[in-house]
Amino acid sequence: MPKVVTDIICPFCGTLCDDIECTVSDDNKTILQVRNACAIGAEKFNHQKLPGRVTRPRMRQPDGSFKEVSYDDAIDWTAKMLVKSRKTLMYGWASTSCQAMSIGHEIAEKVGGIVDNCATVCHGSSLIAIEDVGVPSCTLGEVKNRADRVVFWGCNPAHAHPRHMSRYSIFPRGFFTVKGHKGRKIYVVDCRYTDTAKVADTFVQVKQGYDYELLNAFRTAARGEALPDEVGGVPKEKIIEIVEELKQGRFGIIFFGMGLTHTMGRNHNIDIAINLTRDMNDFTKFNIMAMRGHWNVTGSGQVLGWQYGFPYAVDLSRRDQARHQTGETTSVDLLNRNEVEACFYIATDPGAHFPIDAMVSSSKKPTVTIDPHINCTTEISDIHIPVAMVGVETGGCAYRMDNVPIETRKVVDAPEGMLTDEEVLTRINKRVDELLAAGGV
Amino acid sequence: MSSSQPEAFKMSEYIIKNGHVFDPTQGIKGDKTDIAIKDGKIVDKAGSGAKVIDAKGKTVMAGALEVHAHVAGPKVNAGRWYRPEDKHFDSHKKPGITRIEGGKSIPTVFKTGYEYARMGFTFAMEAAMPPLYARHVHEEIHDTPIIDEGALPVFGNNWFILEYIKNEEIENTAAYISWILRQTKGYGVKCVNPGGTEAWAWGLNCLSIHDPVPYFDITPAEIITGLIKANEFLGLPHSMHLHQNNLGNPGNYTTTIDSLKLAEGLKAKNNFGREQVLHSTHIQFHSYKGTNWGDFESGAKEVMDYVNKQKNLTIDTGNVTLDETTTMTADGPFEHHLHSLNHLKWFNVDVELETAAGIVPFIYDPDNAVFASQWAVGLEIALYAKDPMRCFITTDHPLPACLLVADVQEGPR
Amino acid sequence: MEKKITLNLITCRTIQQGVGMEAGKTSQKYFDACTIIHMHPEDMKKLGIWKNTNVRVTSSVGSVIVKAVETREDLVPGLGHIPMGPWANRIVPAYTYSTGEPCFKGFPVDVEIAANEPIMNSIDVVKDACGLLRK
Repeated sequence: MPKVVTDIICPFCGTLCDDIECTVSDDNKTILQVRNACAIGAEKFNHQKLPGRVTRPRMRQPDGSFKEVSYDDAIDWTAKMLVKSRKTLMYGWASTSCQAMSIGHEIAEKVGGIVDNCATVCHGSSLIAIEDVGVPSCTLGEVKNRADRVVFWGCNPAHAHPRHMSRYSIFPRGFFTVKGHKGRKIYVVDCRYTDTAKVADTFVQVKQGYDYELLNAFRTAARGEALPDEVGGVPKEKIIEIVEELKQGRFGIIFFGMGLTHTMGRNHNIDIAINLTRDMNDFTKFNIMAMRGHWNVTGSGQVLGWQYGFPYAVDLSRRDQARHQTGETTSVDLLNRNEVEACFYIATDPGAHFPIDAMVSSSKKPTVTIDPHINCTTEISDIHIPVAMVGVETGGCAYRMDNVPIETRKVVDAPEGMLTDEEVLTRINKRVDELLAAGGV
Repeated sequence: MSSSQPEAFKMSEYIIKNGHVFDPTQGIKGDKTDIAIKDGKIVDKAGSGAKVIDAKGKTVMAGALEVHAHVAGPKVNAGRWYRPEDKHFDSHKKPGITRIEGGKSIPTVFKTGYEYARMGFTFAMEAAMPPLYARHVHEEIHDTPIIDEGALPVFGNNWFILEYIKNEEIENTAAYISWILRQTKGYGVKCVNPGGTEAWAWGLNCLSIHDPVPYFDITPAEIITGLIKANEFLGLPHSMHLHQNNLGNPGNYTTTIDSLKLAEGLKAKNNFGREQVLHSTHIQFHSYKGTNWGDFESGAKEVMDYVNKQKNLTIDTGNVTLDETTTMTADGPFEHHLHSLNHLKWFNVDVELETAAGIVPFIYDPDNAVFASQWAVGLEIALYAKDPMRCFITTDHPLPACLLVADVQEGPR
Repeated sequence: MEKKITLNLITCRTIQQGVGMEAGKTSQKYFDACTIIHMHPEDMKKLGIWKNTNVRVTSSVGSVIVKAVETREDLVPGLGHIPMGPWANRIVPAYTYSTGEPCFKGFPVDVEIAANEPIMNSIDVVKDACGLLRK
């Protein structure tokens, strides 16, 4: 009899929904049906059973084809690559468990790795801003229960965090927000009229790349000071009107995303948004939250934080200290300047998501990619080691966009004989120890 | 609370020879005596196979206990994240089998474990664990080497607690506390800025024990009393652990004494030999007279006169050291206030249904009269204490002091 | 009608791209979701193309062939959008201004008609740039 597994944590985006249900086959090998997940989450659970899963490591041959190799051989090759390289980029982590990350960090300390996670091309700008100015924030439940002014600036949850609006930010009836979205004023600021904007009360169309100026204007208006007639394509009357409305609320929240982190100004776009939020606290309660993209990029930042003191781009290549300096220790910059000798990618696909110049540089280095599926990176790596899907075929701790830790569950068995990230990393760690004890390679 | 020692260690026998032993409870003051250990406990005699540790020329004493510090969890890590400068020139690896250590005022977990151990501590209590984030606290405890750590879940602004206490349902309060302790593997009942941190979710605060909490319409006095009663109903090992309202403000000693008075007449009920019902934490911050920063002065005598009289209270000092540190506390409104004073970067998180946390870097400048007074108040608290068994020394690390600044005296590495 | 127009390009997540990604980087869903450039109808008119025509999009980094489509999420004239993925990143400038973050959103591109040019698959578009595509 198929059985229903409840309280599953979705391993896709930073909303980390914890109410997914799956119907699982009798033999515990196949997910038959998914309930409550958004379209993207559902696709992830459904992908588990698609034919063509790679279940054993593959090594690229001189003619460009791939040949299957054993886990032991792949692990040995990887350990040798790590020991030989003086400075290895160890990037990804955002789609695996905290337990796996911890083992990876041990390896990085021994072999001289630079541990970086997907924040480097996502909310890295936000982390830099937080390092500069701090951040007043809250958990998602506070938004659901208290927020009556909700601003989405440079983010599009309708596409990137599909259940965020119904679980927390726009529609739910919370303890002090029993009228649901009717009791909230929703604002969307974007350079295009997105699907999220369609559910807003007020849409502000900012000229692409002028978010810093507009946030600065909001802040100026909040302090009651003079504005030019128009900022970023928005008339000053509208800016003043919105700021007054925000001040009339009892609990305001600004959610923001790549519209701020990726555009000109980068971290400055966020530090001014944070400063605006902080200034608003002189009038009413106001918080701000980054819409973290991956389901466990926050977790990677947390583990790096408590082990080394930094949220991403941690350079351990000196083996006796941890360094963090964006521009120097961030993945894209390291690749742009050809500063690493090997690449180790785990739970990620920079081939699809890094700018091509960085990947051209990466492709010239010995490369190992650990990921459940074939992707744009595996096909230009020397070795692809497939592993169980975390959150589907094996569990492990994750951190939501508001830093709340939630332990993900195993729903079905992984394909026969397939290892988990934790198992592969443990074996690599052991092999690295053996090689170092024998004097290196 | 779990020990991180491997099983093999626990099952061994050791004998510490040739050291100078200090044990005030038994009147041993420097005698050269052997200490035998078997299966993780101190015993009278060790077998012939016991591993010998030569302590010649060394002091042998019980490990120090850090009863209140911020060493593991979401606000500690937020502090680490947002202060990369804290690792500046302070990330290093000592020879041997240690991991990389880093951070001055907010050390990484590896440094926390090693430094406490180097100073002779064997235990640290993480003073404030939001139940929603308990898993994070335990992940950090898991990664902290050598020392044992425990954590106190916070209850003073928890919606369920506020409703149960308002309805005078002490048994339900106790049942909920019991459930939280089991779910979060917490160690005791912590109460931070009762009611005030819930008010902070609306940008407000409770500065006196009679200020009502918005919506819940309960006072800090009722919360404190209710939590003490529930704690005794459960007969927990530790007293209710209180961070009073009105922290850090001139004239707050009256709020402190008002809060402590709530314990009068309440009796301890437990099987651990505990005679006290209330522990007042980092009381230095709560012992100020005056009306503003200009006439700010010590209220230590007034507070300690009361503490000395009341046998059912314990305190910890909360000493300030005069250097740069990072303040962090579940007293969210206090941190916002501190930020408005020193304008250094402010971190805040409001935690649904439970609590909040705030972080602000701070420089206790020895040339500043207020900070110098705070330093003196901490010393006065301890000097006025008549019963040393009811007075613990703490720094509420890292809030008023980087405890691990002791490392600075070591000299060049 | 112009032979070539210049647009300001942004590259973003779409739900179709997310679904496609989870279906697999080599899946048809992913291909369909990402090998497109959303353009404003006025810009398509300026370039003289019907919707669903292939175009060559060129930045300071290089070129990629994608299909021009009408946008659902209103753009303004002069603004184009290619969903994130290897096709978008084929032309994203890698410069980070020392922030670690490349120019994913807000860089100039030239768009020209390439009606009969094929679109490479997700693996080939990366391999080709890396010189690893055997022809």
